[in-house]
Amino acid sequence: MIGILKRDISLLISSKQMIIFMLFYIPLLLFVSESFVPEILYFMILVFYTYMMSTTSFTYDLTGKSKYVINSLPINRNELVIYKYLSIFIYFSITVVYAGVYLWIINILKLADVDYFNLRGIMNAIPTIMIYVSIVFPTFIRFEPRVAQIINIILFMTFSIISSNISYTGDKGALKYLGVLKWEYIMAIALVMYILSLLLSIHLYKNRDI
Amino acid sequence: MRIIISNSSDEPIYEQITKQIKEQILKGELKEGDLLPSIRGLARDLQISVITTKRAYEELEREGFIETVQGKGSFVAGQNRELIKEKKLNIIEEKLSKVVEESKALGISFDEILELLKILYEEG
Amino acid sequence: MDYILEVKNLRKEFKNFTLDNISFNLEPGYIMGFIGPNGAGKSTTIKLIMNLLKKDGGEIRIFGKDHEKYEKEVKNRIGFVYDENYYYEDLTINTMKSVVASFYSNWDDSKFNEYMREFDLNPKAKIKTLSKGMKMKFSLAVALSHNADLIIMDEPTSGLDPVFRREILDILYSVIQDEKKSIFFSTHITTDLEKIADYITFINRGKIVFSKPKDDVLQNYGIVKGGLDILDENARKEFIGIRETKVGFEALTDNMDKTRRMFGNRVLIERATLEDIMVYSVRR
Repeated sequence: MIGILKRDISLLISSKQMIIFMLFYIPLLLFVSESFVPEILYFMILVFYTYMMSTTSFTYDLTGKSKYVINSLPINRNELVIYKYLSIFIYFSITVVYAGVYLWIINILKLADVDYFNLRGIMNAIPTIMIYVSIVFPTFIRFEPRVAQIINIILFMTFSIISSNISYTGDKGALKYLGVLKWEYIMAIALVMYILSLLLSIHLYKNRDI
Repeated sequence: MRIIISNSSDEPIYEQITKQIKEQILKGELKEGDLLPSIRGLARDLQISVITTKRAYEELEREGFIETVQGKGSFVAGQNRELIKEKKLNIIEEKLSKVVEESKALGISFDEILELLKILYEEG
Repeated sequence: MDYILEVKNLRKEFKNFTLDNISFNLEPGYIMGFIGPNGAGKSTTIKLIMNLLKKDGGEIRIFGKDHEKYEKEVKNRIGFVYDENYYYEDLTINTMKSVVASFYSNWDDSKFNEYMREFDLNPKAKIKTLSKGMKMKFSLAVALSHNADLIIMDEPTSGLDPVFRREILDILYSVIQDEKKSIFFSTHITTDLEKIADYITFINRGKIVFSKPKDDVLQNYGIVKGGLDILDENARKEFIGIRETKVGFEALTDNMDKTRRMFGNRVLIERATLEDIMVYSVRR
């Protein structure tokens, strides 16, 4: 499994698209979202970045010519799927560190007032990503890349709209409303979805023609 | 040891190989106990299939020209004098029967053949 | 008989194409050439063997084990080389190598470096900067650096010049000096196989036409040429892929001796090359 991780990180690092996204998305968000509550902004950054890295890596083995390589190596299909699901936590950790440092620098340079580390943001981000991935991963396995991409984009936009709406209304009211839903419940739902999705993905990938 | 094969000849490659090795053994160019190349090494050198070289060696072994020792390789078998003589005669006999056949087809008499043989022998 | 690769009644259905009843076997120590025109099902068969596509029927055993049940174990001993070498363009050779190496339990780094030197490849080069030939050599180096016992190659030499292809053949000859290893090599460039192959399996339109020792094939198949007057009902049955012109006909026979006996001097019979066999068979 370390092998695949190595590959994924190497590929992410060497992909120009990825680098551009990593460098410029935060400033872009900041620029576009002056009235964002810092906490929500932080939350969005965590989710977007993790999401971006996870889905990009995920598709290496499903689309494009390179999908034949990994599946010809001595690897169990189940292992591959499990690895992909677990890797989101690694990407999440990377994001926390990366965003933390990036935003901290922005703070220090007094360019904007941002949260560079917010425990609530992290706690909210984790189940969000898990739910997101639970829906998106099986979609990619089951459907043609184009169809899956469309679903992916719809989901992405829905999420963006919801989170920016909440942020724009800016009133603590919306946040408080969210706060009513106990984190424990949301986390439990996310965990269940995550595990079901993992099992579904394993089943789907097992029988898929590469 | 020398083996040259022709891809364009009608003769099957394995036969070309057996023929050349037989000749060299009978002429004494390959001596008893000499190690032959491995079937895979030979296939590689001649750029042919391993099955071909295997077949050639199998036939040579059947006819008593070589011996194969497991794990060591193939060696030129000990040839006793009479057997060698006999084998040599066999080769000539084969060629002569072709000459006889053709001569009869072309209407050339036995005496004419004899004359020719004399001339050729004395030339060489 | 201990086969290194056994394919039995393999079947795969697509919308417009069916691979049906594919069977052949390969023993250790031999090279099998897998020939057929484009679209015949060569790549599909290989993908099925590697479990990239899921088969609809049949059995595949590699090293005596079911290729799906023991997938990881089996793939650990297989070196693969595909057409177009689907490696990650942005990575360097070294990075790519270390990714791949981590999957194999018998990776031999010194052997890999030897091949790098022999092939004159720069390990720090990015894969996208390599020419097609160099990419192929890299694939081959990887395939040969983990003590694989079965090398599976899918059209590895298409698009490469003859000099290069000869070099590859030399390398394959070296591999096969070890009588425990086998090579399965699909191509439509049949001249490569005419020399090196021990067995030929010919596939056309999803079905196996024959799977025989190459020598047998080349000794029995012939090109027959004759006048049109010979082509009666019976004659037509004897030949494959008849091409008729104003001045005569040309066809393939799978039994030169029989044809000779039947038609004697009335026809000209010449050895057929693998390419001839393919072309005439497909024409039918």
